[in-house]
Amino acid sequence: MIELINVSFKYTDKLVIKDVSVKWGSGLHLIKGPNGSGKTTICKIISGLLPPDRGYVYIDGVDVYSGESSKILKDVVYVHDKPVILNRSVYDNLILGARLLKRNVNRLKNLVEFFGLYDILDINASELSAGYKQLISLSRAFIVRPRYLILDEPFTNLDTKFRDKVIEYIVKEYRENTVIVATHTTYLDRYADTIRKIHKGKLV
Amino acid sequence: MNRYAGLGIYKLIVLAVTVVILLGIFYYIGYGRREVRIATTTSLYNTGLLDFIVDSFRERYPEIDVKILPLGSGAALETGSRGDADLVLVHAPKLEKSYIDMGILTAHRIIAYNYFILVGPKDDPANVSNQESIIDAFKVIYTAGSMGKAYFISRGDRSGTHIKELSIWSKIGIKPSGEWYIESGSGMAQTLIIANEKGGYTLSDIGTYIALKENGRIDNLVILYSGDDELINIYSIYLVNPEKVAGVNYGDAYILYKFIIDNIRYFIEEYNSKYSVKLFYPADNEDILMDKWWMLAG
Amino acid sequence: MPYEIWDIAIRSIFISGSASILATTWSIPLGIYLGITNNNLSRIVISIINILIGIPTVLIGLILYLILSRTGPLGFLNLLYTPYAMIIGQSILVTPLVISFVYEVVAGKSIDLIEMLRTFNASRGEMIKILYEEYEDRMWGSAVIGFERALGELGIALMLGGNIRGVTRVFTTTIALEVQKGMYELAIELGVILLILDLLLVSIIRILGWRR
Repeated sequence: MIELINVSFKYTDKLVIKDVSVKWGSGLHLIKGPNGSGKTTICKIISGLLPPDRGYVYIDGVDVYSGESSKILKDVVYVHDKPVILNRSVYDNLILGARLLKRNVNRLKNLVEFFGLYDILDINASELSAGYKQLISLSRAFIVRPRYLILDEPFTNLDTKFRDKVIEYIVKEYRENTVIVATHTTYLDRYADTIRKIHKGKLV
Repeated sequence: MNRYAGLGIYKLIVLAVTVVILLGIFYYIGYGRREVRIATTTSLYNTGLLDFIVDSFRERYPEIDVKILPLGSGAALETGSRGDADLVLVHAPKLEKSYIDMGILTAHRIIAYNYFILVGPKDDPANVSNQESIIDAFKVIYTAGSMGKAYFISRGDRSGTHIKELSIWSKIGIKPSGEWYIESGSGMAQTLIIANEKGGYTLSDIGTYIALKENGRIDNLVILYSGDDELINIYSIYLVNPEKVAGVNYGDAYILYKFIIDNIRYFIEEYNSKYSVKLFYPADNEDILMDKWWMLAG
Repeated sequence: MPYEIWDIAIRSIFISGSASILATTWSIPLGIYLGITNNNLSRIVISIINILIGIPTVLIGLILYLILSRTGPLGFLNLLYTPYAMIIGQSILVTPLVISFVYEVVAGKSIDLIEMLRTFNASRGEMIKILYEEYEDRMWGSAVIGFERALGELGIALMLGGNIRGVTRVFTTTIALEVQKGMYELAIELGVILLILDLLLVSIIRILGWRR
């Protein structure tokens, strides 16, 4: 369970997250809002990447910004809205997450089949199109199957041909875990357990 | 199936370790070698006389390394006092005396001498060439300079030449300063070149002057005054006192010291034969020279 | 040319090359580390380092001279007036330059990359390794910059090496000597040779880098 208590954040001149409190249990949850409304900020705060000015973030009861955070952050993965790719083969990029977390790569084979990536495994990933790169960024997280997956605008840079497959994957594989998706699209609406709109505070 | 083909950070570390090991090996090999360091002045070094002497020494004693450190007189003496030189060869009696008094320098011998010369622009605005002593020459330069009619270029670097120049000013009782008095803070050659450019006067050693003149670099300058006893330039050699200064290689330094003193006449003759002018005179009458040295040292 | 040009050239490359290799070995990880952490402390450190880039070389030379002098604390090592002292001095000179350069590469361009590595629980050491490999070209670029800086400096070479013929004489000290002797044309010739050498070496390094 993810719990935000009185979280506030302010960039020097811009965006403001004001006093947000929310709880998310397992399942698929959407955060909706127009561009620039703070979706990325909220996502990063949840993921342990951006300490809020005020307030607390608890995941499974552990304060994500305390000394204990490493216990739980191993199971929390954030995927950027822009692809993040290393100048290496697609294969190396895909297994990077699993390598760092020291987990096995069993799911790699299934994923490669599912998305049809077999032909490009040896290619240098930085030479691919943005659409492919975003898929790789996402798949890197999928292979690891974290208990908490935070996706920031996964569809924006994604090739349309992958869109349905990604939706299918999220819905199928993440039954027992928690997935938070920040998006302004409606593709996941019918599968979501909760939808919250962001506008300084949150509403359903 | 790792297709990555770059160097990786480990290769950087391996490269660095290799470098360190190589350096360590070279250092270790060179560590025990006998080494004498002789600190001297740039003007003396630039004449090439010292390289000539040391090359000869190396043939005779190949197991002793000699490092010649060309610095200014002031810096050379200071280097000796820090134990970073074993022998000191300079020509600034006043400075030398203070180091002798401190007990840092011993075994004072005079090995050669020559004369400083006063050079200046061909048109001689201060009328130096008609003067009868160097004191008068400096006086008229001062007068002309204060009226804006002449420049004087000083080494300004505590070199032998500089010390000599200052001693003359102090004999007149003048502390030179002002727009006419330019301190170059650099070597003799550069100072002469500046004097050439600005049409100024300067005190110079004869070796550097001849070298530049023969290369056509200072066409505007001529020797306006020379031969005064006051302008004598005495080259002294010292051993750094191991009882006062730690770390000096007294034993090997003494070997070089003796080698120089025993053979200096020969070296100077050989050296002078290459030039049209006698650049150095051997210290034939060392007693007389010592007296002169004491006068200069004050 | 009355000089042992090859002797001077090889020595200059050897001394400055060793110095920059050593300096980059500790400066690159440090620069990456500062770029990764990028908190208030790192930013203060980088500001200080940027100021240190501008230290006059004679000052570094003088301080080291006092330390390595026979009457100084490390005098027993007998390093003064040897190439080793020059290598030490030049590696110190080059260090802030490389750290700053590497920091800019990491802190400026790699924020998303760093966040991605963090979300996958990479340790600091793993991040340094991955960032190094990702920007390897620039890292070697910083080494080259350091090398060129070391090759062209005078103050350290003069104070710690003494410009001793056959032992510590390098390009810059030779040029300075000729200038001091008033032999300006010779000095310029040597300077041009130094620049050509520089160009050759840098080209070789770039070509080697492209063979990946």
